[in-house]
Amino acid sequence: MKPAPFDYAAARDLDHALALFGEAEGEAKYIAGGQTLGPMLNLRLSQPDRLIDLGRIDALRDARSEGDRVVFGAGVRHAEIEDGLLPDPSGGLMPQAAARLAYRAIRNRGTLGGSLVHADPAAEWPNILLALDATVHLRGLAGAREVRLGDFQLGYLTTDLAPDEIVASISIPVLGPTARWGYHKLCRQPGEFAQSLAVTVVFGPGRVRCVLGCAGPVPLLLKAVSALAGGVSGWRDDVRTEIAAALETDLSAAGIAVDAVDLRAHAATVARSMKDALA
Amino acid sequence: MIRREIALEVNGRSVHASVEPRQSLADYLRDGLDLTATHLGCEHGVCGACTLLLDGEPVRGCITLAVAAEGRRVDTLEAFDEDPLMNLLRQAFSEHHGLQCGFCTPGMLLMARDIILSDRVASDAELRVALSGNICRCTGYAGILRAISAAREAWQARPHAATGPA
Amino acid sequence: MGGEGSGFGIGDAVRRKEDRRHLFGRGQFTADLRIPRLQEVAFLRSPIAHGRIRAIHVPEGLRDRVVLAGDLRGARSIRAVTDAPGFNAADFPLLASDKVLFVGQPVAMCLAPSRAEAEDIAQAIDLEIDELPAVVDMEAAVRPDAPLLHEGWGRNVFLTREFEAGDLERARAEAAVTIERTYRLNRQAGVSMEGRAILAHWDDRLDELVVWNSTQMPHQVRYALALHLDLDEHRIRVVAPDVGGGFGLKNIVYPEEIAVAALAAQVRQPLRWIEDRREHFLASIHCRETLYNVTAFATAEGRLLGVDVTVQVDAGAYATWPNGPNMELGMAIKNVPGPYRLEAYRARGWTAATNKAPIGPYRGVARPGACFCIERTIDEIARAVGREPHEVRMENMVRPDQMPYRSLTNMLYDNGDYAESVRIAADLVDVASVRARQAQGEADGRLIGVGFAAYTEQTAHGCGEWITRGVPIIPGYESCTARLMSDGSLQLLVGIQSHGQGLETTLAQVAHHELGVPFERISVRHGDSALSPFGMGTFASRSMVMAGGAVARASRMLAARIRPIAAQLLQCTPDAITLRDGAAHGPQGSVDFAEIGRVAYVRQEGLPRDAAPTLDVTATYSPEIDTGVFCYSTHAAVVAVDPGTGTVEILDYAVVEDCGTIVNPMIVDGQIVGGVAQGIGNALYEEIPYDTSGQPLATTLADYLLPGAPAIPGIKIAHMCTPAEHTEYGMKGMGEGGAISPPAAIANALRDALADTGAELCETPMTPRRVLAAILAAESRIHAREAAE
Repeated sequence: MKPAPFDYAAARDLDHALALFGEAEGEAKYIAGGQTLGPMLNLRLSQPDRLIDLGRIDALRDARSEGDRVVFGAGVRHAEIEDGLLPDPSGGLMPQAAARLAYRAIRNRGTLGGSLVHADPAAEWPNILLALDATVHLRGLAGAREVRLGDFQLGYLTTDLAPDEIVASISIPVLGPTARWGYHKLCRQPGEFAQSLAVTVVFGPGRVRCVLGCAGPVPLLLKAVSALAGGVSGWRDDVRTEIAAALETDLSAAGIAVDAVDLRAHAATVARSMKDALA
Repeated sequence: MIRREIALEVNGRSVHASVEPRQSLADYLRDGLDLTATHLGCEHGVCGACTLLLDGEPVRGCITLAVAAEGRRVDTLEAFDEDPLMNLLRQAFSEHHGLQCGFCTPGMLLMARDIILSDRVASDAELRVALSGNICRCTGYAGILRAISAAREAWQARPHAATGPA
Repeated sequence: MGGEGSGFGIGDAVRRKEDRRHLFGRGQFTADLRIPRLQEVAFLRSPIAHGRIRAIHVPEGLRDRVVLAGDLRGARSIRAVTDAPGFNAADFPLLASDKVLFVGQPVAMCLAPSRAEAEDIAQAIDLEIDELPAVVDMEAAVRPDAPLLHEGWGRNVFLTREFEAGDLERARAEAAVTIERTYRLNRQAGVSMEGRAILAHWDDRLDELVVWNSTQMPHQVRYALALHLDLDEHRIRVVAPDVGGGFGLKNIVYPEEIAVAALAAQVRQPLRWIEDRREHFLASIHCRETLYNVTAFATAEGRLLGVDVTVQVDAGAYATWPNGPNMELGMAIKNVPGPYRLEAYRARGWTAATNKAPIGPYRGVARPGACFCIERTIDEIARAVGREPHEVRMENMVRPDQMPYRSLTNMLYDNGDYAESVRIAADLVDVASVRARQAQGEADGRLIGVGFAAYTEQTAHGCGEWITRGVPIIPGYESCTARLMSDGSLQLLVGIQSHGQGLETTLAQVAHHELGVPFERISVRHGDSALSPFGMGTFASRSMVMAGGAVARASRMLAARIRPIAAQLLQCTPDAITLRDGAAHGPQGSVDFAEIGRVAYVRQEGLPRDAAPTLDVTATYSPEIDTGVFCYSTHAAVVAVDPGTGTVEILDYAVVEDCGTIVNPMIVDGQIVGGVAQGIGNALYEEIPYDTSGQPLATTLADYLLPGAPAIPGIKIAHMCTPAEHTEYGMKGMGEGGAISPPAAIANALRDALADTGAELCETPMTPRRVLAAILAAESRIHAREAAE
């Protein structure tokens, strides 16, 4: 299980990375932590001609507060978030999620930006950062642009990123002091891929974003469920049946068909994330 | 064949090598330096047998490229022959039957040492989760968990424990 | 005896001799070996489940790096034949040239200085295959209209078996309770952490083929290579270096291994193949896939009257060497009655051929399924008559006063108290407190339940038992050469192989016990066909009893040689000599083993007149009875089920077992917990589904879940020690047992937890999805019933 041959170059900074991309012959691919691309290379599911390593770009490792947002360099590692070494816009949600993302040895290398670019609807960051209403800042040969995460994730393992573009940073609004969140992941063992993953963020009265992963090709912002959560004050157990109905509304609006078994599991994780956020 | 020159520090020694960019760090250590303690169990980042330290942090050797280790410090189990904490772990693994076939053992030891030194883990349940990225097919983990707990206790109880890690 | 009270004898928790090298990263697995001029091998494998090879296009310039079937000279296809009546045999080609019958079947070997380059060559080959309809489902496979895998067979069936004893019709007529169920164990893999591995080279000095092989049975591999290559057996040496787990899957000689050995002999080029994880999931043997349809009859009190069962095994495409798919069906049929008194039993079954990887032996072999079948059924009987399942179990079990007890399937249960193991297990998990907790309900809304599963496992069976199985190799004995060296240290050269079982330690404990040679002065050498006498290997829970027996006998033969020498030196009679603490002791003095060794090897004039020089003896051991000794056990599981998600957590798990005399309790407990962990994998996690075109859907560890540390709870263990009457020291084999009961115990605990919903789990693994589906199905049954009323 060894990769097909490829050439390799380490970029000094973003401009150098883009220049390396521009001059590459054949298919060039960026690599950051390599915790997803690495296995795909070994399995020969990905066979680029050239890898451009973003791992040595210091600017991508930065995280700072900017007004009411925190801006993370895309190369920030899961373990740094887990260990609370960086400013946290999420009131503890991101560190808690990071701690159960894959395994420590993976978290030591895997990056926030890499996870968003891989765009797996079962992964933590695409869902949680969508609930937090994050924005990604991109750099490409044609210049810089920014995209709300909801518009960035286009399909299963597919994003709005052009081949030459790099996620440079991710900006996340800081939750206010009254904000609450709930996060629930259903997976068969710690560190494994989720079978259902729900996160509910209550930004303030009536302002709720509830996101469900694993049900569709992209993380789903559940509008009806969010509206339901925004309309109740505090958690009541009898709201579960309403959640299930609202979830069905959201899934059918998104054109997603799930069977009764998956529906029950998704309803459970959504309800639990909402319960924790509202309780 | 494409090759790249790299310079790095392996187990305290400076090494220079010419490697194929596609070569994993684990393969380079095994084939290039004959350091065979790093085992390959899945080669896609799941089983943890290839766990090694990159700049002191546990990583997967099978999905880390050797070229990406340029200028970095790499430590494999072979670096820890004299390490006091590793020797406590060795003693505890033997005493509590923390290994059977021995294939996962080097990765387990490196992960266990990091768990003890980083002090991230308090309960037995947390220890299990912290170890969940290292698969053992033989022991059912009971001996491994007992061994790590015993080594941790001995480490924390050692003279001058308050002065910090070794 | 020489080792009593030393802390290193039989019964002592001696730390293992094998630990040190692994703890320093100095184990020597096949991939760790270094040899000049080595070429690595990558196999090109079929991407198609069923098809006919039209062409294999090898790019210009690579032809000399690629080996196709026709390039291998003097190497024969594998043909595993058993004596089972009606057995259909078929050649398993080393490299496919005509048809391919499963995804992953080897087609070509690609050679290069590195594995990466060898894989480049494999990728460059264009394989043209005309696809044929794939046979994926074992029930569909045996229908008359199913496409045939092996033309000429008539039907996709390797073998059929039937068995009947007692009066089943009477049982049916007398039954107050009839239980009918279908149970399915899905396909999984063995997943040793080290995959298969082979390094073969020609040694010009010795003019022999040297094969380093990650195997459980080096001598059988040598025999098999002589059988399949044009090479005398004296020109073959097989060494199993450190082996990173076997669990049965390395108890087979595979096409890849014969092909690599054959080519290394043919081209006189050192070659190595290291199986990667994907290849492991594709082409190492699979296991477990069995379907049971059972009807059981019982009285209103829950007394088992009769069992009627149909067993179907999905054996995949080919028969592997040596035993093919023969064992699963026969052992399933033999073991369904389990530890119970059964007066009427009928079993029928067949083993289907499908376009999947071949199945083979994996820890427990057939018994996890047989246990699942009878133990789930006992629970259903108990529920039908409104009684505690563990009590119904105890009442139905073979009683101590009936021992030795000949089962309907002709197994001679030798001794023990089966019901007592249930009683202790019930105490360990505290059934009463589980019942109280259930009545109260859980604060988090989860449902909890307790379940039991018992088995009795035939181990250390001898020649006669193996003959009844129709297998071509009869592993009815083991061997040992014991050599007291000139300095009084001891070497034991044994024919088994140790790959985690700690036999380097436990066999030394046996010799220490017999001879009193200090434990640290004893070394065990195994796994090398050039060193030890022929032995069968480590499988079937046999090595401690069989090789331990051989060591005991060799040690006694050695003692019989030592005594006259010591007697001569001490001027007494040989029968006045005792051996302990590294010395021979007479009535008036002692002489240490170093002096005895010195005399025996280099000072021949000190020997008694009729004593031969050197101290080197070889013994074989065959058990006194062929029918084996039975290790039995009851497992009890307490689980919590989340009815919202189907997630199962094991809250408590207890094992009560009787393996007779224990040589090393630390190692025995390690085997139990390790076996339970694999059983939990079987119960909750591990599965290789196939799609309808025969593509396996779990070929990486991302798709195939192995139990990690959080999945395995602390296991409570209690031992009952009823020494076997027919083995050395009263030992019974126990290596596999831990893996037998967990699927049944956990399924029964789930049944208990979900009793109010009416849901039951009859299929492994019991994934959250399957648990949730069972709950939903039960709910809709209730709704339908309510609607009807």
